[in-house]
This record gives sequence, C-alpha cells and structure tokens, in this order.
Amino acid sequence: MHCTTLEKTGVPTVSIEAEVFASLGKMYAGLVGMPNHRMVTVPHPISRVPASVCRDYIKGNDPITGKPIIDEIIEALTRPLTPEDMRSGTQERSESRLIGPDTEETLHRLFLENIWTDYLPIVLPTEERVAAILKGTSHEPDEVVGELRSGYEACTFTVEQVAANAVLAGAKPEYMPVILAVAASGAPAIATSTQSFGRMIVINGPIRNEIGMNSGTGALSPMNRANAVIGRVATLISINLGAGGVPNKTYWGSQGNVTNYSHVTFAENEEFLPEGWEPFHVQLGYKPEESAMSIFHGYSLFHWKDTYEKTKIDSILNMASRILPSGGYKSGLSLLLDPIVANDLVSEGFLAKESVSKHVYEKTLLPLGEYWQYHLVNGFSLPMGQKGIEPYASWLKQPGDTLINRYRSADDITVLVVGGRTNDFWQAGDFHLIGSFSVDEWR
Amino acid sequence: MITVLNPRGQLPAIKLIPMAPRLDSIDEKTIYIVDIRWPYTQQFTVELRDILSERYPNTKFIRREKAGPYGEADPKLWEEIQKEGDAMILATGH
Repeated sequence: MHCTTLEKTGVPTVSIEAEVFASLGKMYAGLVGMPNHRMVTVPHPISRVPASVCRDYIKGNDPITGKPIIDEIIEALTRPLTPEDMRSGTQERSESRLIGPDTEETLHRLFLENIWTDYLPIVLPTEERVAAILKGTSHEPDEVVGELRSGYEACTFTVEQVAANAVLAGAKPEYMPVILAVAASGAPAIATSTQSFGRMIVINGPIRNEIGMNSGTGALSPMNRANAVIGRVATLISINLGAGGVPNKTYWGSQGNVTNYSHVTFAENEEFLPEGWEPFHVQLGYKPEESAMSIFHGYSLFHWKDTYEKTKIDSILNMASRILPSGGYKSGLSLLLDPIVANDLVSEGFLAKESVSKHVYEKTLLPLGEYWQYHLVNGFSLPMGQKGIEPYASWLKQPGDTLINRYRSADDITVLVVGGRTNDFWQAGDFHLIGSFSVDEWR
Repeated sequence: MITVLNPRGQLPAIKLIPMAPRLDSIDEKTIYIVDIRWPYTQQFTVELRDILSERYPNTKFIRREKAGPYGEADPKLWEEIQKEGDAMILATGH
C-alpha cells in the first residue's frame, strides 16, 4: 500500500516481508493493482530479536528463493521492468447470482471446498428458502445493504445476499432485521489480523422477545436458536460478504478465537435490571421501545472466580485492573453481570450503571512506564504521541511513575446485565463498543 | 438437482498501477529505508541501513521511521522521499 503510493510518483520500491507473510504480500499486491510488486523475504519473527539475529537474517538468504537477501534488494530496485510490470487498466470481477443446478451432495462439497462455510452443517440457500426468509424484512432483495471488509477488500452486498447467508446459518425469517443490522454495521466479525479478535453482539429492545432470544440462564451458551444463529451469521457474512476468513490468505489470527463460532451474542436481560439501571441502548439514546444491535470488538471474557474480594465492586476493580488499557488502539472493559450481581452493586451504593463505570474509571490507575510496555500501546498510542496527538504527546514528556487512568473515559466501560439469577456470577472482557445500530429500520 | 444462491458479495474492480521505472544503478543514489513501526521491530531496519551502507559506500541510505501506526500513510515522509530520494525500501511487520 505504502509502496504503491510511492511507485505512482515514479519512486521505485521494494518491500521486505517476514517469511510467514510472503503469500499475503503477493496477494495484497495484486489486490491493490501491482501484482508484480517486488518483495524480498526474511526469516520470521523479526519482533524483539536482537541486533545479531537481525544481521544474520540480512546477510543470509531469502528463505523462499534461497538467494542472498541483499542482492535481491538491490536487484529489485535495478532490474528493468517487463511489459507486465507496466500494465494499466481495470480488472472487473463479478460473481454469478446462482450456482447450479447440481446435486445437493456436490453443492455441499462446493461450499466446503470454497470455504463458504464455518465447517458446521449448513442449509443450502435455494431460491425458495431465500424467498421465504426475505419475508422477515420489508426491504427489497436487490437493495444494497452496505460494505464489509473482513479480508483485504471492501465488498458490497444486497439484502438477498445477506438472506442467503442467513439461510446457510439456519435462521428464521423473524431474525432478518437483527441480521441485517449486523450486516449494515460494516463491522466484520472476522478480521485479517494476526491477533485473534472476537466480537460481542448485544441485542436490546422488544425484538429480543419477539424472536425468542435468551437473556437468562445459559444466554452465553449454545442453548438458544436465535442467539446461536445470529452470532453464526455474523461469521458467515464476514467470510462470504467480506471476502475474509480463509487461513493464511485472508485470515492470519495466529491461534484463532473460539468465540468466532457465534461470538458473544445475547440479549440483555432488561426485565431484571435493577430500578435506575437502564437498558444499554437507552444509555446510548434509544427509546426503550426501540430495538437496537450493539457490536463490540475484543478478544475474550474472564470470570470473577479469579478474584477474592468481599464486595462486588472491589472484585470488579480487581478484574478491571488487568484488562488491556485503552489507547490509540481501541479497547475497553465490558462487564457482563448476572441480575443478582447488579442488585448487589445497587446495595453497595451504585444506583445506576453509569456510577459503576465512573467508579471503575476513577479507581483503575497505572504508571506511564507500565502503560507504554503494552504491545498494542507501543504500536498505536506511542506513534500517535510522537505525532503530537494528545494526550499521548504530553504523556511522553512525563516520568514513568506518573499515574494515568487505565481507561480513556468512563464511556469505555460498559455495564450489561445478562443471566438467569441462579448464581451471583459475572464476567468481564476487553470488549469495546464499535457502534450501535437500529434493528427497527430493517423490519 | 437444485440451484442455490451464491452467498458471496461483490468484489471491487482492481485498478492496475504501472510500476515506476527502475534505477540503472544505485551508485550515487539516495535510498530511503522506511520502518513502518511494527512494535519492537525497529532494530531490523537499523541493521539493514548499517549493512547496506558498509556494502555500498557510494550510495546514501537514509533510515526513517514512518509516523503513526503501521497502516497509516505518512504524506510528509512520502513528499520528502519524492524530493530527496531515488528509491525506497520498506520494512517490515512482525
């Protein structure tokens, strides 16, 4: 990407890629219009290796071609271009609307071989099934819903294409408004990164009960069709409508994330919110009678059994003090509280969700010296500080023992109520709100 | 025999970009080594600059760290390279 910018101005470039990403580099070069971009490969990893190892890499051979790396770098900048290297124009790529006719067995195999699934059993999206599920929305099948970039390209897609993926996942027509809100959010559930992201999808408002979602016992387990399927569709549309989810091509999560099967998808238990505690979507400005889908970015959940404090708030502070600090790279804290825990917090004086968020924000501090060590802070907040962006720029001038808030604001701390009141159980995760989207507009 | 809908979205068209002409040689040239600032990888480009400078004393190798996170453009640096440089080596992630 940076190389093509310079090449367009007449500056020849060469990029150096770590071996494990060589195929990615080649593919990406093709996607940005320069398929013959010149690259040299070095051994992996490069991060945190000492100078002596770096020197050995550089003075050694390209692990893929076997040629001396230095020679390849110079040759990349000096070898004359071929006619292929100088091609211009546009390459159109289109997909046919229908596939077949063929046997069910062959079509199932096709979907698996092309990685158009999540490897769980699918329902083939026949025209009849897609037409039936489209009854769940008033929107026209050919309406463009939006754009999704789960791989390296932003794809556009229609209501009908979302419906095809909803059929794949086993959805019912009444789930379509929620599913379309997920698709319209533009937030892919699967991303390309070498980190292994997850998503949390929270539903509020009357739609929860209309479509039979679970906000009580087992809400986060695979024990409810709507919860499971909506989360599953988020993954399938990322793979199919966002051109992502293929390991070592468009997905590089080193371990993957077990939540990607259907993400952390649930309905908030609005019926058992303590008095004074508002539903999450109302906190964001929706009316209680409106329905909304909120999607969060993060990695995982941790449970309260790792803490020992007597009060719920101190137990929460213990957990909150371990979560990745907020920074230039968005992160936050999400608290998933059983209604028993919510009521315990009210007894401890927290008469609204916002008071919990504010308290956690004020009480979780860390020294700057520790803050700058976090990998993502180093990669995102530090460069922003060096560019003069506040507050990071000012923080760079302060001593390492200066205390800062772990979270950028109380808004980075989300309080949600979910659970069936069988235990004062709660979980916390590093999930940060990407956005909240109307479900009603997709009815 | 059945027909099904294609579950895939519409991929964008690819606009092909011609590559820039190459150098006839690197002698007397100025080559920028740009570090994209992936966390804890900066030592690599330091060593790269030093080794290339030892090997090619008639070429000026200038190392720069790109501003901002690794995926973000750095227009000021790009402008500098266009004005002052003859080529760029970009490195690297992970």
